[in-house]
Amino acid sequence: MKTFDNEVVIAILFGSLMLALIGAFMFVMVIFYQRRKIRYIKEQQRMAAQYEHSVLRAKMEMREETLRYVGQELHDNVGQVLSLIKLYLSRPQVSRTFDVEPLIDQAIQDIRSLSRDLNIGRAEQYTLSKFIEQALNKVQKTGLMKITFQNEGFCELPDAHKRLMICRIFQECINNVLKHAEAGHLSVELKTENGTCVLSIADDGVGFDTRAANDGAGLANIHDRINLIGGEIQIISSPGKGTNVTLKIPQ
Amino acid sequence: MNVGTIVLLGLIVTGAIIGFYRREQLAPPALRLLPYFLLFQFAYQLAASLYSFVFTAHASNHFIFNLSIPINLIYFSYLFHSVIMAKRKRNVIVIGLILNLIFFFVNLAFIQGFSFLMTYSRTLMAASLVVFSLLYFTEAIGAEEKPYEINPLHSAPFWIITAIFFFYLSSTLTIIFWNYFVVNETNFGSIMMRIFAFVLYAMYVVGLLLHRPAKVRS
Repeated sequence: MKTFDNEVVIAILFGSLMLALIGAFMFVMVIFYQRRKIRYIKEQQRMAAQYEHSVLRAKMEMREETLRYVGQELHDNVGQVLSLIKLYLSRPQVSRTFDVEPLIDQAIQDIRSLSRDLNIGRAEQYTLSKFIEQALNKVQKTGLMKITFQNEGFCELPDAHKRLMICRIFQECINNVLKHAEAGHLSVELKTENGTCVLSIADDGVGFDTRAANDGAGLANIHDRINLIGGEIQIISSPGKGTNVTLKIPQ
Repeated sequence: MNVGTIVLLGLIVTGAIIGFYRREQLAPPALRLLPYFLLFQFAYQLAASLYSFVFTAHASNHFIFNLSIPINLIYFSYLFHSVIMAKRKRNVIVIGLILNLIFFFVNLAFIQGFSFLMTYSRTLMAASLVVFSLLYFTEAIGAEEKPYEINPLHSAPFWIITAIFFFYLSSTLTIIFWNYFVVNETNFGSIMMRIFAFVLYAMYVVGLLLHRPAKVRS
C-alpha cells in the first residue's frame, strides 16, 4: 500500500512537472510570436512611409521637369517670337511693310500650348495614354528622332499614385534616351495582357551594358519605384544594339 | 477496466465530438480528419481493454496496440506534412514515414512478431514524431516568409504537436528508464503513462476549443 502511495505521489509530481514544462514552452512560443508580429507591423509601417515618400518625390520631380520644359520653351520659342515682334515694331519703315499679326498669333499659340503642358504635369488628373502622348509630342518637337506610339486595348491604372509613378518612370526613360541613346527612332507601345498593363519603350540607339549600368542611381531608382507599385521591369540592351525597356503593372 | 481507463476514453470521445462540432473551422484537411482519428484511438483502446478484462481472463492485448502503430504513423505524418511549409522538411517527413513503415513490417516479420508488444517500432515512431515536432517548432520560430500568421494559442496544430512532442518524449524516456532499471515497479510505469496520455488528450481538446482559422496577410 505504502509503495503504491509513493508511486502515485511520484507520478503526480512527474505529471505536474510535465505540465509546468509544457506551460513554460508555450509561454516561450507566444513570446516569439509577439516579437515576430511587432517586427512585421514595424516593417509594414516602414514600407508605407517609404511608399509615401517615393510618391511625393515623384510628384516633385515631375513638377520640376515640367517647369524646366516650360522655362526652356518660353526662352526658345515665345521669347524669340516676341523679340522679333519688338524688333519689327521698333523700325517704323519695316513695320509699314511687314505684317506682324502672324507672329503674334504664333506667340499666342505657343503660350496656350505651354499652358496645357503645365496642366499635363499634374499626371494624376490625366490618363496614362494621354500623358504618354503629350510627352512624346514634346520629343517630336525637338526633331531629334522619329516617334511611333501604339496604344492597344484599355490600359489604365485606377490608382492615381501608381499612375504617377509610371508616368515618372516613363519620363526618366525618355530622358535617358534623349541624353544617352543617340537614337534615330523611338517606339512606344502600351497594351493590356491578361489584366496587366504592358508599356514598352524601344530605341535603335547605341545601347549599353546592363550589368555595368545596374550600379547607377538612375536605373536603381526606376527599379525601386516599379517594385514599390508591385510591377516588373525588364531592360534588354547591349552596346550597339539599341535598348528595349518593358514595364508590366497589374491593373 | 478501471476508472483511469474510463476517464481517458471519455476524454478521447469528448475530443472527437468537439472536433466534429468545429469541423468547418478546422483547416488544413489533416486537421479535419482528427475527429475520425480520435474515434479510431477510442475504438482500439476500448477494444484492447474489453479484450483483456471482459472477453478473456487477462489475455495479452498487445496485438491490438501493434495494429494501431502504422495508422498512428500515417496520420501523424500526414498532419506534420500539411502544417509544415518548407519543402525540405516535408521531404524529411515523407522519408521518415517510409522508413518507419518498412521497419514496422520487418519487425513484425522477423524480430518481435505480432503477439509481442512491438516496442522497437513504437520507440522508432516516438523518436520520429519528436524529430518532426522539432521541425515544426523551428519553422514556427525561424521562418520569416509566411503567407499567414498564427497565434500559437489559437492554433489547434500547435497544441496537438506540442502534446505529441511532450507525450512521446516523456513516455519513451519513462519506458526506457523504468522498464530497465526498476524491474518490479510495473505499476509506476502504467500510472505515468496514464498521466501522460491524459495530458495528451486534454491538450487535443483544448486545441480544438481554442482554434481560430488563420488570417491571410495581404
